[in-house]
This record gives sequence, structure tokens and C-alpha cells, in this order.
Amino acid sequence: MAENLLKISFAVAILGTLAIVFLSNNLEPKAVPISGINERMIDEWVNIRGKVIQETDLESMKILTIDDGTASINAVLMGKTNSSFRGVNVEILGKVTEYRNELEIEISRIKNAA
Amino acid sequence: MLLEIFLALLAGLMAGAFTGLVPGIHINLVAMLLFASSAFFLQITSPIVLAAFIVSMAITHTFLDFVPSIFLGAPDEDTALSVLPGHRMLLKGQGYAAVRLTIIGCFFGLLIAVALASFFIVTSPLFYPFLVKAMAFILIGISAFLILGENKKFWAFFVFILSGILGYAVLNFPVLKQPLFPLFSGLFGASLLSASFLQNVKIPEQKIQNVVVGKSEMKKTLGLSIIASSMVSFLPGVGSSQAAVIASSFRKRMKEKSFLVLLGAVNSITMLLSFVALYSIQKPRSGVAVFVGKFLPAFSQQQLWLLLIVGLIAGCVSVFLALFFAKTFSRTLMKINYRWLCFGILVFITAISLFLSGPLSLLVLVTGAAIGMLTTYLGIKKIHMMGSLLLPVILFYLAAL
Repeated sequence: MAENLLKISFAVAILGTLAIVFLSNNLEPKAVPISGINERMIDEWVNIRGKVIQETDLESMKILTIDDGTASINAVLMGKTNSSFRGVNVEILGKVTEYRNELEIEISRIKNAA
Repeated sequence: MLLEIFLALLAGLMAGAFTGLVPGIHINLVAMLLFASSAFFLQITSPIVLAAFIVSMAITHTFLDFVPSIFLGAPDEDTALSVLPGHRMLLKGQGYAAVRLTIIGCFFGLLIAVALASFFIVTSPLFYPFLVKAMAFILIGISAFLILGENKKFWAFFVFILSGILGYAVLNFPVLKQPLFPLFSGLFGASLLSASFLQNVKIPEQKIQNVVVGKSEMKKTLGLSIIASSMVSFLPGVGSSQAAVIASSFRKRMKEKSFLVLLGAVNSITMLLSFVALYSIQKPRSGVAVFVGKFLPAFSQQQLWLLLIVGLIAGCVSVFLALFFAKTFSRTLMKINYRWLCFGILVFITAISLFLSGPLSLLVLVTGAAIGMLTTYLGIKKIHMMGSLLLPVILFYLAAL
């Protein structure tokens, strides 16, 4: 019995983990307007679309200001990157966070919306 | 003002007892609800009173949340490691003693944290930048040390990596809310409850007795707790779980009882130091510290000390509250068929997961339980499943270098 349970646990652990990895890469929340993002959404995932109107390079991150016509918000891209997004229409998936009493988005995925 | 603070302390004790005893209800949720209704509360009281409520609730929670972890096998991320040693003691009729050990840890941890608060106020801005750069390597070293200390090294590594991949995917699962509840309930709770159900485990008569930890053992355990907790309390993404792993890696063979004291101590120290961090480095390092920071944007040292005193008083009262509930659980548990209680808790955990995190949380719960059962049948330590938090944090700190 113990050996069977070991085999079942092993199979479920592997298959379950693979399924979760697959789903987490392929399921996205619905797109929300930036004006709809509020403090109750801290730590929630959101999907926004808008134009990068400002770009600030820091030592280990890039801060993008995104405007979708309803409002604007800062989005933080961690790590060093040479590519510029200024003026580009982007689609961002990320988590709502707060920094110095301002809401911002911690970018998980960013792609060209066009 | 003093009366208002006292009432906030009492309300915090009640709220902390509720969040601590009911699995799945997090203090951050209550703090967020309070913040959402702050327009109303700030008409009748001041921000420091609301902050005092949050601190009282948070400290009470750290004492009480070991009770369901040990008696019901329903942990959160802070108490997950207490499930197995607590359950072993429960099977020896020492469930009450197990909770008592965590309470001793919580209480002395709280005393030490308050006593050393001034020290951390002065030194944390100095060691914070160094720790940020070193944390990834500290955690890699500790993970390697724990894996190499296991007899079945390959399987320990396998479970660490598999849990790490699961943790990373779950924490970055955009449509899963509150992912930590199904993750930790699966890995540490559901796996143990399922095994108990399948093996038809019988709970012996629970004795209301004390278990003693020697003075020198206690000093070593508390010393390790403060070192490990101070390493994580000022950094983002790491908390009492990582502190427990760090502290336990310093000693090759830590006794079960000392480990429970250690878990209690790191839990209360990291919680209290998260408020110190809010003042000393102006960064909130726990969910509740975020809300204290919102209520007190110009957080002064005087306010910090007031909140630390509130925390200390809440801790003193929580000792008695936690002992009372541990006694109640001990007496009630003997009257219930444990096999069906395990089944009932599994149904409850599943229902809470569905409610908090949605239908996809069931997949996380089942996968976590399967990994937990794998460690049982392979005969390796459950601490390797902490890869679920350690691996994502290591990647986070490596990316920030």
C-alpha cells in the first residue's frame, strides 16, 4: 500500500506542478482601465493596456509611466534592460503595489500591444 | 487617549484570537477592512488608536495561530513547520505541551525584540544594504546545507526544486487570489491530514502537562531566533518561515521541543521587528505594517514605543488566551473521532480555499498534498518543502543584484 501511495503521490506531484506552471503562464486576468485601479486591489494581478509616456532608468530597474486615456500609473520593470518603451503602446501584466503612498504596478510581463 | 488605546488593545486581542484560531482568515484582511472603513473610524478616534488595534491584533495572532496548526493540522505560511513536530507530540498525548512550547517561544521572543528595539533602530539602516545584497547567497547556502544534511540527498533536492517550481508558479499565478493558503494547506496540512485519515490514526488521551526545555537549550534557541529573525525582518519577501529555516540550519540536530520554541520566537520577533523596520528604514516589512504606515505617515519614535508597549501587553494577555484555547482543544479533541475530524478539516480547508482563491486553488491544494505525502513516504524532512518560498525569494534577490 505504501509503495502504491508513493507512486501515486509522485505522479500527482509532477503532473500537478506541470499543470500549474502551464496555467500560470497562459491564464490572465481581464484588462482593466487604469482609473479602475484602487487601494483595495493591492497585491492583486491586473492586466492594463496603454502608452508609455515616460521612462526612467534606475540602477536595477526601469520605471514606465503608462497612460491609457482614463488615468496614468507607474509600472516597475525589475532588472537591467537596454530596450526602450517610450511612446510604445504596451500590454502589461503585473501586481498592484504601493510605494510612498502611490499605487504602482510591478511588471511580470510586458509586450507590445500593437 | 489612554482609554481609547486600551479599548483598541482589547479589540485587537479579540480580532487576533479570531484570525489566529480560524484557518484561512488573515490579519492583513482585517487590517485592510479597517483601512477601507477608516473614513468612519477617524471621525471617532485618532490614527494611533487604529495602529494600536492593528499591533495588538497582529501580536495576538502570532500566539494563537499555532493552536489550529498543531491540533488541526491547518497551518498558514508562518506556522507550517510546526505541523509535523506538533502532530508528533499530539500523537503522544502532548498537544497542549506542544502549543505551550510555541507560546514560550512567542513570549520570550517578544521580550527580546522589545529589549533590543533600540539596538535595531540604530543598526538596521547600517546592515540593511549589506543584507539586501547577501540574502540570495545566504538562502542558497542554507538550502544547500539542509539538503546535504539529509540521508537521501537526491530526493531532498528533488522535493526542494519541485516545491520551488510549484511555489514560483503559484505566487505568479495571475488569476489565483491569496495563493499562500492553498499552497501551505496542501504542502503541510492536507498531506498530514490525508495520511492520518488513510492510516486511521488514533489520538491518545491529551494530558494537560508542561514540557521543560533546559535553560542552556532555551538560551541557544532564543539566541538563534533573534539572529535569524533580524536577518529577515528588514528585507522584503522574507519572513518568519525563512527565519525558522535559517535558524534550524545553524544546529545540526535540533530537538523537536526546542524547534517549537524557535518557531514561536521567530514568529513574534519578525512581527514586532516589522514595526521597528517601518520606523528605522521607513519600509513596511509585513502586511500589517503597511497599514500602520498608512495610518501614521510621519511615524515617530514615540509612536513606535507606544505601539511596542501595546504589543508587549497584548503578548502577555495572549499567553493566557493561547493556553486557554489549547486546553479547550485538548479536551474537545478526545471526544471526537479523530479520523472523521481529519476528514472534516480537509473538507473545511477545501471550502476555504475555494472561497478565498477560487476553483483553481483545488489543483494547488492537491498538488501540494501530493508533494507532502511524497516526503512522508520517502522518509525525508518536510522542511525541504520550504523550497516553495525559498526558491522564489532567491530568484527575486538574484534578479535585483
